[in-house]
Amino acid sequence: MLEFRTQGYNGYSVKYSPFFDSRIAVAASANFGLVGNGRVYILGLTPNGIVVEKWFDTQDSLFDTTWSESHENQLLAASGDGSVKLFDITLSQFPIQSWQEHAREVFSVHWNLVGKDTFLSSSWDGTIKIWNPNANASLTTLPTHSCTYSAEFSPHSPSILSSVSSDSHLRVFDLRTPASASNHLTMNIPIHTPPKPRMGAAAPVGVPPSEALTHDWNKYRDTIIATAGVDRLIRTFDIRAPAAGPIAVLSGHEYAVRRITWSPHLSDILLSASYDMTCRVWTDGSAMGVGSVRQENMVQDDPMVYGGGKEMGSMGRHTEFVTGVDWCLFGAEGWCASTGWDERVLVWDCRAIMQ
Amino acid sequence: MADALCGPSNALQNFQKHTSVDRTPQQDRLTSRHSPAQNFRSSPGPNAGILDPEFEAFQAGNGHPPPAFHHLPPHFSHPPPPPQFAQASQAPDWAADFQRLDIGPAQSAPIQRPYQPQVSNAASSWHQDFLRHTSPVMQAPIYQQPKFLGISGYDVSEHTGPTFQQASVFGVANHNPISAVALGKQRAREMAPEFDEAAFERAFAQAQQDILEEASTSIQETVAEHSRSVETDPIMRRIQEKRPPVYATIKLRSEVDLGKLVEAEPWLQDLESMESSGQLIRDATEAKWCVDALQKIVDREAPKKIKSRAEKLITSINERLMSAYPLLAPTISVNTGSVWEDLAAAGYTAEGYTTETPLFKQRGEQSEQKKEEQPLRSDDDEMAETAGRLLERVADNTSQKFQNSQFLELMRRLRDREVRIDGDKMVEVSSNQPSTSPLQPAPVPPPEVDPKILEHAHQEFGMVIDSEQEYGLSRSSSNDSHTDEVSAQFGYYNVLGKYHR
Repeated sequence: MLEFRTQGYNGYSVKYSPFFDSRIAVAASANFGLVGNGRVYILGLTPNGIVVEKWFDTQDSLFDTTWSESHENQLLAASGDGSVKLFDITLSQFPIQSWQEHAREVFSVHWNLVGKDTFLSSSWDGTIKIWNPNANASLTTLPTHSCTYSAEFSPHSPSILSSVSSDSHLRVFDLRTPASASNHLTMNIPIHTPPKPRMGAAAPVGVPPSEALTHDWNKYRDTIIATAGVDRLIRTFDIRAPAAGPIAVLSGHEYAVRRITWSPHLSDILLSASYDMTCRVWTDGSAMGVGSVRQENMVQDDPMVYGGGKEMGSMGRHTEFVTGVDWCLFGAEGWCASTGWDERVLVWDCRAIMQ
Repeated sequence: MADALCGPSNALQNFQKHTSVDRTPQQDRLTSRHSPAQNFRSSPGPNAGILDPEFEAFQAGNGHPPPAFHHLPPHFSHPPPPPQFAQASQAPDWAADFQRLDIGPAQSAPIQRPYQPQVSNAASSWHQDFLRHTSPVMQAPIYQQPKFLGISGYDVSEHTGPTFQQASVFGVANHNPISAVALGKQRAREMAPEFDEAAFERAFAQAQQDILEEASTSIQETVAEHSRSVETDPIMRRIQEKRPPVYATIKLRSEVDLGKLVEAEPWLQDLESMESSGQLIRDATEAKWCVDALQKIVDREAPKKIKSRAEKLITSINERLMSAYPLLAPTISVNTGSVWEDLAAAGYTAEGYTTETPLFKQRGEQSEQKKEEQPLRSDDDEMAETAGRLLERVADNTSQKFQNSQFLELMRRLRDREVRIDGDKMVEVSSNQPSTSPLQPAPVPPPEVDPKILEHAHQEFGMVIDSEQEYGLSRSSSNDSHTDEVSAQFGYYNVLGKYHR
């Protein structure tokens, strides 16, 4: 396990470069993001451990970062003052572009993985904005009418994106649809829908909505999205059957789940970071040989877990809330990086903690 | 629209959302591996969980706080009432005691006292009197406790003596430490616990008993010149370390109550020397408390010698106090609450002290009006409140990590107003106790005492109070006093005095 200290700054997000296996970006904020400055660290993984290659200071807290998919030296940062900033790590000090349109804190940024010419940002002002790095103003604004903690492009289509927000809904937008009254919104799935009734388990009762803080598209199964949030549960949904409720419910975290990310290597593995100060590795039970018997009309061995998924391991080295986690795209599967409010970035192999 | 939903009026509100624990029935059913309710159910049958929502609702609706003192050992809960405490005439007498906390009329005899004793309205005067002494605490910044370590004339090495009896004698060891941590100062104020005079007396009785027990076990202990045995109760020891004047007063009172005059004298001597060195009035709150306790000794059937010495001591403390803190001096933090907190920890009150009484609610409304006038203040208040709520959410987590979390520590300090947010910085709220400043290397000589100051005081602060209502209003104006130092001063003195009109 490699460790780097973001002295004076509490980490909010960590991302591996899609171009270099040894480069990591970390968005961090002073004073736990309550007040004060922000900083983007560009870290290099070297034989001598983690070294800082560069950093950029900002006036306001930073809550998220994402690498450009089209330029290996550029990355975005989501700022607490409502701006989205584009940095070039070959230049010093200042961002090469800053877009100030959001009325509130920007809480996520994500680059289009397929189109590579657009990116999005989502904010507490209840909107998602689509941008082109060459344009001065946003291309499209998609309202969600509630604090949108997380928004992402689908890794399978350049025009499909999704979001989760404080109203406990997973929204899917398709930019190919006409911009009518629905504002490209094609699907609005209530995350708190109880699972389908099953044999051998109590009939599901109503679940009150709770804020969803994070979600991620599965990298292999193009219709599967995992969500998580304040209710401590990780759920996976199949957008082909939006009314069917979650297909897997994973429980185990003791506090709200702050970030989840699917493995780029395995279709059933995902990694989560939580306010209970742990990172956990999960399988959603979709892989062969994992989980319990999935035959119809058969009573499953653990009635409390829905969908046959289970926790595979937990990493408890962080000493404050863990806020960011990301998989390394290169090399052996299992390497990942995490950051949290303990001012640390940890790079570790999650195979070591899996049982 | 989104603003209405998200609308963090301060940045903290969002964190609170993140750490909230969802306790809904469905979640508990799905995640009940962590639910203690499920643990003793060996095999959940097909109907497992059906009744859970009802059970949860039942629990949520009927959560009674445990009765006060139920955790104390039985001998502590039912002590024989000490004969010298007249229980019957308690309420008015007690209220009168509290009235005497005001320094002005403290040395005057009860009959001459210009206050209306308000015996006819014992209950409301009880509240009122009590509120008077808790209300300044409500918005007070938590000030740094003065460090009284290594004080001259005080034998610190006594603390290191062998402990014969463990803390269990006092019953405090059975206190639930988590709840104490979890509730925190702010929550404790909201909890509206009953202040219990009876418990206070009981504690004194307990202190007596302690001394008796100490006396019996102190055979191997070479009794020092003035039979001062080693304090065995850890909480009393804490008071001894932190607040020697308070400790000496407590000891003095219990010795006097026991009739052990020879033992009482050294304590009185201690107090006198602390007074003359100015140490006693270093903390105005403590001094006030001591004056009050001494007045009680004077009022009781104490021997003449002790009585006259105590009276003289009261007068000299008052003189020194008023000379040390002149009227327009920077704010004195009159923080009676923190003394009470210490005493509450020692088991001297039932569950701390009450703040929520009908009268207080009324004042709460008034202070809300005040808030509108002072929007700057409310930001900090909101922050502290949010931090307090956040801490409550994670209060049941006792893991090492959460106990050591710097973020939660910051929340604690925000809640207790030790830090506040100023612009885009976290600022330490500085202590306004000049004497606790570490920059002072040598102890300053006690300030000069104006021998005639009490005569002024008698004129200025001994005014007759016309009506109870007016009185209440004037106290509530000092409720928010810490926004300006002058009114904080008034919270200490009688604002209705002629001097201030």
